[in-house]
Amino acid sequence: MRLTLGILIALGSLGLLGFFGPSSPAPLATSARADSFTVDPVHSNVLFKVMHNRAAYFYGRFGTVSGTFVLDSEDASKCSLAVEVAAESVDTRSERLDQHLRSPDFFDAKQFPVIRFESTEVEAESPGLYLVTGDLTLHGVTKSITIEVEHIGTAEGRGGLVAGFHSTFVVDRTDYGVSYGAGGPLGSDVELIVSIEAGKN
Amino acid sequence: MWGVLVPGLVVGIGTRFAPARGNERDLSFGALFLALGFAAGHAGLLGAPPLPFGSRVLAATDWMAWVVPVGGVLLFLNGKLRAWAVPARCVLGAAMIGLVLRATIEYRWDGPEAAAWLTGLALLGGLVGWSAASLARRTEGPSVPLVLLVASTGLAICAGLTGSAKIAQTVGLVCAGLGALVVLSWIRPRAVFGSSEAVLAVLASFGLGLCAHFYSELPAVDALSLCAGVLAPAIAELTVLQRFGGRRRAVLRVVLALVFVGAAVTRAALAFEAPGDEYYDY
Repeated sequence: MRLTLGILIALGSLGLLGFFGPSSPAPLATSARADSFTVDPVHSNVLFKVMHNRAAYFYGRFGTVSGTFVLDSEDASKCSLAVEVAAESVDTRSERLDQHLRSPDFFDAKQFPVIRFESTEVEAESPGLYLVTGDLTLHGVTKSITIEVEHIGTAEGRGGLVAGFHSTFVVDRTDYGVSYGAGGPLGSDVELIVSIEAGKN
Repeated sequence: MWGVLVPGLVVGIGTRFAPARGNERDLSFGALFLALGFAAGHAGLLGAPPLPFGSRVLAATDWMAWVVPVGGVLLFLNGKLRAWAVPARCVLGAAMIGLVLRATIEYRWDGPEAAAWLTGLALLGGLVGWSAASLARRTEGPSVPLVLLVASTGLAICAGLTGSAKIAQTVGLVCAGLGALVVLSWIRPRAVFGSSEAVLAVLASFGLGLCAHFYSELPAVDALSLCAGVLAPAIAELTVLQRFGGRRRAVLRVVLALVFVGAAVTRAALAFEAPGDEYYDY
């Protein structure tokens, strides 16, 4: 009985360590073949930061994030990613501001419901750091951009293998036809902070 | 300057020095300059609209920036189109509704629902346009452009209060042009404002009203109340206003428009002032 309890505690501890324990930063995947991952919508975040009143930074977030990754630890060129954000899910903790941001003045969420980034080329810049070129579609405009994506780690989660990525990049919203308040109280440059956790399929 | 002064001056100066129209078969310079004023004001205020059918997907307000000038040219020539005049107006209206509601058709409505909505909106838009054109044909002087100015100003205020400054500013371009036509119709009662000008004003305001309702937060009841601001004077003209003389009848037309438009603006203002969070703009 005591032995059984000890085994159970040991197994439980191992499981908890697997879930909460530190993850290893690299490589991308443990096997040589390409692995596909699906974005965990709960543990992923997309935030934006914009200059407000030329005096402060304002932060907001998107609540609905989805997407997929293909990771190849040996050949970065075989990696790909596609991330989608629901424009309607913009959240600033002010319902009226959210409503304005969803309106045709900004994201025009009913006409352009999805903000999408889809990679076209992935290069390994250094261990754990990738240069990802892809098409960003926002407000009906698609432009090719190149962003740095950091591989934070890969570890066994409760549902299997998970991988985490982080990227910070800046877009000029006027390039995408979102010009309201630009040149006035609202900055044109918007910094996007993307933190993704994805589970292996 | 771009939102009011430029469209007002383009319409005012252009129409003032254009050949006066004797009847509905003449060229409608008021419609042409209303469209040019809208285009000039739009370019200055919001930038040139993106080109259609390019790599960029146009928003409904971008489509309106093309529909109004194209409609202006078509309605300028409307008197010369003879038997094609009415079909041309119908095609113009149908194209506008289809282009403005592209995203709603794509993302929100299925086939039968889209067909029902589009038919209903086409009938409503057609009825409002026909009412305004009918009023403009039957009357002279500033009362009909004033009725349309009241309705479009109401839409601009409601759009601004319910969440989209961009739509409000775009409707403001129509208001500025109509304001100039009100003044000119006062000076030259028969020579300035006809059915083509009325149809163009309705085309622009109705399309932007669709943008405000479907893509911003303009409630349906307010949108319908704004439509009633144009419909009520036209219906009254055929019925209860018959017994009144010219000037009193003109005043009553505007009062009727003010009642319905005022109701929509009051509702929007009350909703805007309702307790909520502290955000107002920016």
